[in-house]
Amino acid sequence: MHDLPLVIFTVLSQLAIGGFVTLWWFDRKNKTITRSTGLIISCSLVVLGGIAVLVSLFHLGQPFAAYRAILNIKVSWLSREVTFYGGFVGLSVLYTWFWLKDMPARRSLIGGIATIIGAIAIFSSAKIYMIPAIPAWNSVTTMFAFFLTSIILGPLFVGLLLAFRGELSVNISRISIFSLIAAAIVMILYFSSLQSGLPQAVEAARLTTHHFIFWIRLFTFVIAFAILSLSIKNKAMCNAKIYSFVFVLLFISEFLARFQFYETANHL
Amino acid sequence: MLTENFSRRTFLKGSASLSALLGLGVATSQAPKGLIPKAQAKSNGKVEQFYNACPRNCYDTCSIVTTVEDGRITFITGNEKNTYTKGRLCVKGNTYPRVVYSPDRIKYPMRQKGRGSGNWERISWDEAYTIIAKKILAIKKEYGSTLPICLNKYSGNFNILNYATEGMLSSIGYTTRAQGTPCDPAGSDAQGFDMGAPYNNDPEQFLDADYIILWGANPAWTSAHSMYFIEQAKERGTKLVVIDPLITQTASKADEYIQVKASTDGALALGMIRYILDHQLYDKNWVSQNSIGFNEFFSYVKKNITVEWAAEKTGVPKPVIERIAREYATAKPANIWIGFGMQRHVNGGAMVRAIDALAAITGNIGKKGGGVNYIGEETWGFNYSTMGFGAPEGSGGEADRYVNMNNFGAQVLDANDPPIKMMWIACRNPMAQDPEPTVVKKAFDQMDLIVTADLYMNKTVEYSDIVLPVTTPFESVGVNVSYWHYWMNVNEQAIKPLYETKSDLEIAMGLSKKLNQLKPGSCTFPVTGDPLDWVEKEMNDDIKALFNVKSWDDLRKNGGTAKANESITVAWKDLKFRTPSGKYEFYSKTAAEYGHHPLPIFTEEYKAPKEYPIRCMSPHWKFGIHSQFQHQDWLMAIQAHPFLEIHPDLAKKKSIRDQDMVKIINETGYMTLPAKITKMVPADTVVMYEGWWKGVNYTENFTVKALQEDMGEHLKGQRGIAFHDNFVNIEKA
Amino acid sequence: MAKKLGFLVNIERCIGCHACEISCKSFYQLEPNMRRRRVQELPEDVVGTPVRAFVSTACNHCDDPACKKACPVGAYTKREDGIVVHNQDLCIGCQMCGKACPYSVPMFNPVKKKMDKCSMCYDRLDVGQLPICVEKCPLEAIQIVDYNEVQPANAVSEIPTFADTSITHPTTHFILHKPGKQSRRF
Ligand code: SF4
Ligand code: SF4
Ligand code: SF4
Repeated sequence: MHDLPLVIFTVLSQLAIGGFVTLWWFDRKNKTITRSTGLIISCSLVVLGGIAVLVSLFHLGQPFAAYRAILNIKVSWLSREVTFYGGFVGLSVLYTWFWLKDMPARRSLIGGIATIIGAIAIFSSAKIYMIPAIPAWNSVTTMFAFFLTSIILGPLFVGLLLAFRGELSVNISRISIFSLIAAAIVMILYFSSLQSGLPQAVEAARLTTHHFIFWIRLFTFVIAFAILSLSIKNKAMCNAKIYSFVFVLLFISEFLARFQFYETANHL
Repeated sequence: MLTENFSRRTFLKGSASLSALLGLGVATSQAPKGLIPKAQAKSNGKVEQFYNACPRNCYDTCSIVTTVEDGRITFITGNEKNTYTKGRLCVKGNTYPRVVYSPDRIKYPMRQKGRGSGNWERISWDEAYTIIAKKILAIKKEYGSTLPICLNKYSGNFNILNYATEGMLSSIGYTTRAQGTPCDPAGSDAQGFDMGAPYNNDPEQFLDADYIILWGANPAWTSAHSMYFIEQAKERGTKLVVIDPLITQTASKADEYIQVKASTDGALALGMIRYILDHQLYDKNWVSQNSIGFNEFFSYVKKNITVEWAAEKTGVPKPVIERIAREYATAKPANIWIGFGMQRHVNGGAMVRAIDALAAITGNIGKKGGGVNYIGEETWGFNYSTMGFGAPEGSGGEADRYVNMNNFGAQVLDANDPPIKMMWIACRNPMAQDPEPTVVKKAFDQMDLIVTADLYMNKTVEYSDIVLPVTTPFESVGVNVSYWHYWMNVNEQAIKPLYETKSDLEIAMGLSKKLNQLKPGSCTFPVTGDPLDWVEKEMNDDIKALFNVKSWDDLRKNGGTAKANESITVAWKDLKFRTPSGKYEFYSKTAAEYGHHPLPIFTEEYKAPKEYPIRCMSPHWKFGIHSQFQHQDWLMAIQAHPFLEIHPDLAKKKSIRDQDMVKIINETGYMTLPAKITKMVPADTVVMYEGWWKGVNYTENFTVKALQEDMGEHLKGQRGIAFHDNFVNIEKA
Repeated sequence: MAKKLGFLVNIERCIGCHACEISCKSFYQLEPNMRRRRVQELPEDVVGTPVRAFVSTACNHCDDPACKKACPVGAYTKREDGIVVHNQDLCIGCQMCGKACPYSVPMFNPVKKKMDKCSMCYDRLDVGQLPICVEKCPLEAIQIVDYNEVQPANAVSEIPTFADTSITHPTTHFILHKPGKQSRRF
């Protein structure tokens, strides 16, 4: 339970980065998003990203000394995560500013840089946990899982806001269904690597699957998957209500998955 | 205070043993500047060091160095000047700073409304003294004597000045006393019959032994400092044999471990003796010059004992008995240490006599590094001046009346004419430590007033009317010796007493003052006095000569610890035994006078009743001395709950898995605690360690009946309890 | 040449008494639950015959310390003599070092809200004193050895329950328990 701030931080930050990249990409490609919608989405992403930062401070014994966390960037992935995620949040504020000022070219440039920085942030974040001391974490599936959270939640979040604003011109269901398929494969990979790993990893698999949380996570995932599959071909279903529902389902699913990720981190 | 010796030293605490090792003395190269915090001066204020003594009824009775910074203790460790303590303490001793500053300490005198209710109110010392004094005077008036007042005090603090409590009670008249010792009575009597007294070799002589048998002793847990000498000896080639029903921590270190059936150690010793006699391996000269009754004993053994029988009886294979017998008889010198636990059986005394005989026939008694070592009291010859004031004039009764400390509850209930109405408890926790706690509780229920002096809210305090908060060794003055090693340790006052705590001596003076105010002449105990004068009064010429010290103060200034001179460190060196014959008595008329067989014969062990076939032993635990220490949070952080050790075979039979809750039960009581499955205990025995009370509503004594040992009256006044002849059944809870 | 100081823990001698652990706690006046040194029970069949065996470990002052790599503020330093020091003044209490250390050595101090670990008493070593646990073990079961100078006979770097040493290359070594003879009834 004491890792709860980290659960919230990682999920929210990945959501924010994924959403940001989606917004930036749609804006670049289609140029159909109105200024006010762009501003709303961008602002909400900044707020989510900011909340993530605030929550992460709760994990620290010395929250007011958090600024020192960038000191060891030469070797520490945590330092790098802090630095790059900090950079990302800063750039996303700038990006929002350019929405406000309605400057598409700058928006596109800053967005591009922020996208790269954000990706590095997620990469660093995953690397923190890929440590031999915790066998259940020490696998490339951690990396996949972190990026997938971003890819699952980000587009859906942006998509549902666009749908609310009546500006949805892409088939979000299609994008999301691919990420869900990828997530399912990674999940299988994850459990089979745990099973064939060190005793602590095997134990982590057991602890995960023997808890009701796992079944809620799976259930929400499957329902979301089913609804999204149905909605690919059915335009009528691609509305704000359905996407909100699916988003909530998947948010719960990812959140619980991450929660279990921390809870079952058996040390060597 | 050691200002003379210590204050100019470094401000780093602890002793400054220079490590010649690896040339670490040279300051090592530093990492980049600024990143490594510099050693900070621990204090800007005054740093002082004091000598203390651990008084907790422990073999090791350590000499302690206490560091005090600005009036607060910052470290407590062993005194390097004591070659037995060697500058180190056992784990319990290392918790002493916490003992002093524990959040659990009792801070003020308190009165409880309703025993066991937890409804305590703070009162002043004056109120406490008044309540107690008035009660004493009222009892004296009603019954014509103070015999209805009973003192139960024993080993929680063996500082010589703590005998003030006994002295204070003697000073109000004749009273009832809990007599005896729960520790060693049967074995001490046995050695008394054989040699006139129990008397052990200096434990530092383990280094001189060629062969060591630890017989039911577990020094790894109960005497860590002895264990050091034993390990040293082992590394130099001395063979270490451990005979024990349990694979103790010590047995785990043995060159050879022999698992004997509990309470059959006497048969094992006699089997070995038979082999030694048959093979002419005994010391004919020694027995003919120094003993009486050898021939009678010889023929008893020839007639009644065979090695096969011993093997059958003890569960030790015949070849092992023979080999150990030969090795023991041919090693010179061979050392036996008999643990107190081994004699906590109905035949405990007889078993110790048999082992003594083994040492005697091989001529190992009176030899440096040899001996049959159990306990000793050669260094205890103080003045005990706190006890010498006598009853006041007009005291009713003729002498103190005794009840057996080991069956306290029942005997208090039995005492009539006059009945017991008031109890004073100090340095003891009978509610937790006595057998049959329900009976003890009944006895408590009969009291008009129960006064307990203690440090913590333990089971006994919880059931008292008034609690008097006492000092730790670090807050009072004293002097200590050991029943095992040959050192005398001074105890200085290192800090001011915390809160409103007082030493037993101050309490004695305070109560006397109150009694004399209320009724002049009602108590002969002095009403004032400086503890430093009191402690100086303990030193007589014999003690000073024995330890080669001028005074307590002189010792305080010079290292705080002194060893007795060599004249006494080898037990029975002069082979002048303190028996009636002056010789080692295989045949003891004194034993016969006490109703025992005069010879060290085999006596049968207690047999398990059918319904309760499993033996439950309650040996000492490494984090406690009886009910002290284990409850400290430093130790609770390591092991927070008692547990029951069960052999995998037995566990399987009862479908018990590790950590399952297990109910242990017999006709005396029951309790439920978690199982620890381990091969360290035999399959017919379970083990629950002694002295847990914090956080649980039972103690190991819930199933212990007040079954008596075979001996104890001769030297200790009363028999002990056969704690290890406790039979139970277990089931998964 | 630089030193490579490490603990040498003699399991043969160790009686599992925890005096090392508690003397450390006492000397540094640590909070009741803080354990810079920990004594742990080994499986009872570790040497073949069943015995009560314990091992006492603290920070292993690893050659390749994972704590140091994980720490975002650079609170860890490896001195030239090999001691890995944690600087509490810098620590922000993120607890990453504790996660990264294969031996779970750094512990979170709930009062100071910072991490805490064994420093091999470097300030004592620097003035020629031994670490407290080494000096206070009643059985003299812990030593400090410069492993660049000596490779003590029969010292091993791996024992059961001790995490894979290839991760951080701990400097701690152990002397194993020699099994004695036993004649047991069960
Ligand atoms: S309990 Fe015994 S060994 Fe421990 S410090 Fe006290 S006297 Fe020494
Ligand atoms: S003090 Fe020594 S014997 Fe005791 S547990 Fe620590 S290392 Fe082992
Ligand atoms: S044992 Fe852990 S804390 Fe100590 S140096 Fe190695 S990785 Fe760091």
